[in-house]
Amino acid sequence: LKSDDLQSAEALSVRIEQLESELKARDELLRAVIMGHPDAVVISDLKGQLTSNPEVERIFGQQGGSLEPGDWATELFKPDMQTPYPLEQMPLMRALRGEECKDLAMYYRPKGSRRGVWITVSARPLRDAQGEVTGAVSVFRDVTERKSLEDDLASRNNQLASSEREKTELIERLRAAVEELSTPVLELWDDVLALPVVGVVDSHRSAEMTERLLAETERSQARFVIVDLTGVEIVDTATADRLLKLVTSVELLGARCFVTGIQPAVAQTIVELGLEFGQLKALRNLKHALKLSMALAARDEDTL
Amino acid sequence: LSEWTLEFRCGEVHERFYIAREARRFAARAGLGPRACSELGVGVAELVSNVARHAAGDGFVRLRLLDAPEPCIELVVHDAGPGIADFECALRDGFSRGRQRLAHEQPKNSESLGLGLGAVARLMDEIAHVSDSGPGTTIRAIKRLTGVRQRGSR
Repeated sequence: LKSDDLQSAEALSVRIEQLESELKARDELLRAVIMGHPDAVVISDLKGQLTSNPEVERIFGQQGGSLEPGDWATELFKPDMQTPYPLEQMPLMRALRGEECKDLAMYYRPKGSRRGVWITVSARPLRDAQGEVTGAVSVFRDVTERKSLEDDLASRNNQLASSEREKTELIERLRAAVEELSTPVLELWDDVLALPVVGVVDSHRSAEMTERLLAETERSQARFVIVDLTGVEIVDTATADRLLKLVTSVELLGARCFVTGIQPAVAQTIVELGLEFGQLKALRNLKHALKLSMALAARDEDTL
Repeated sequence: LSEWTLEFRCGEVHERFYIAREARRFAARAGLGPRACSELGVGVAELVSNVARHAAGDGFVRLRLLDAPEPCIELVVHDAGPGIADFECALRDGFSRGRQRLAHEQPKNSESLGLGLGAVARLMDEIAHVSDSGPGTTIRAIKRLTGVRQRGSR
């Protein structure tokens, strides 16, 4: 019996030795993992005793391992870079209370230093087999570089957006300037207005043109309006339609409307378009139209 | 050869003027007379208007100088719109958005004249609706170079 007891005691101590060396190996592995981890790892027990890896020293400076939480809490700020991070809200503190937190952004600026470090912090409680909190582990990651890249990107985006806005504004201004220039209504003679159209007649421009011409016709009480198309190179159905409407609305104001200066190629295509141009009084050129207008005006005055 | 191909994306109705201008310059380089250039330009403008109007502005225009079967400029306008159900019918003047306007009826202000395709047919030498090109509408039109030179020399 005794020898049995002795044997089992020996076996037990061998077993314990085995387990101890296993535990030591694991401990060393864990230590190696923590020490070699690229992020700063801080482990705290319930008494606030800290264990940390070299990366903590790199981020938080020389103070290193035996750091009291109170010390660095005064150098950690919220993302506004102004408000000190309240000690009670520190991830490690929260983890010790059993909370978990992930990727909280913080700004770390050591006392007396002007440049700080951006970090993100995650923390979780450590529990024993019964689920009781025995400590906490907190992982800090230096994201200064990422943050500066992000800021750079954001500022570039802003620049791009503002230059885009400036361009759009410039285009709008130029467009307005061109509109000012491109739809002059000229008073050629008593009672005779002329609208020289140059370039293309899109819907926006034709609306502008019509409005101006009608306002001017109304204001000057002109009896003759000459729409000169010498500068128009292309007339498609939509353009022709708008020109016809322009002429019709001028005539509704009681003025006679002549169209002049239609280019030969434009004339040929207008015919092909298949539009009804019967109501249009076309004349060879501006000079001709002005002469006719003056003659008609004189005749009207004679008869009146 | 790329020198003799001209391609544009098109969507907005006002783009037709720019594209038509480029088309006319292209045609002039290819040897078309002023009138034919003008006709081609208007044809392009009409088709681009149609893309903007009927196809929510998603399409492209391609001009190519072809040698066979005869020297001509090929105009292809494609859009991703609903397509044209009856092309022959669409060629008729006054047909637009699926209805035939009666002779005495005036188009509403917002409405187009419905003359576009008919006009293109008159301005170009050939026009066809390419139906085997999948969804959307593809219109292919031809402006011949030979006949035009004779016309120009008259």
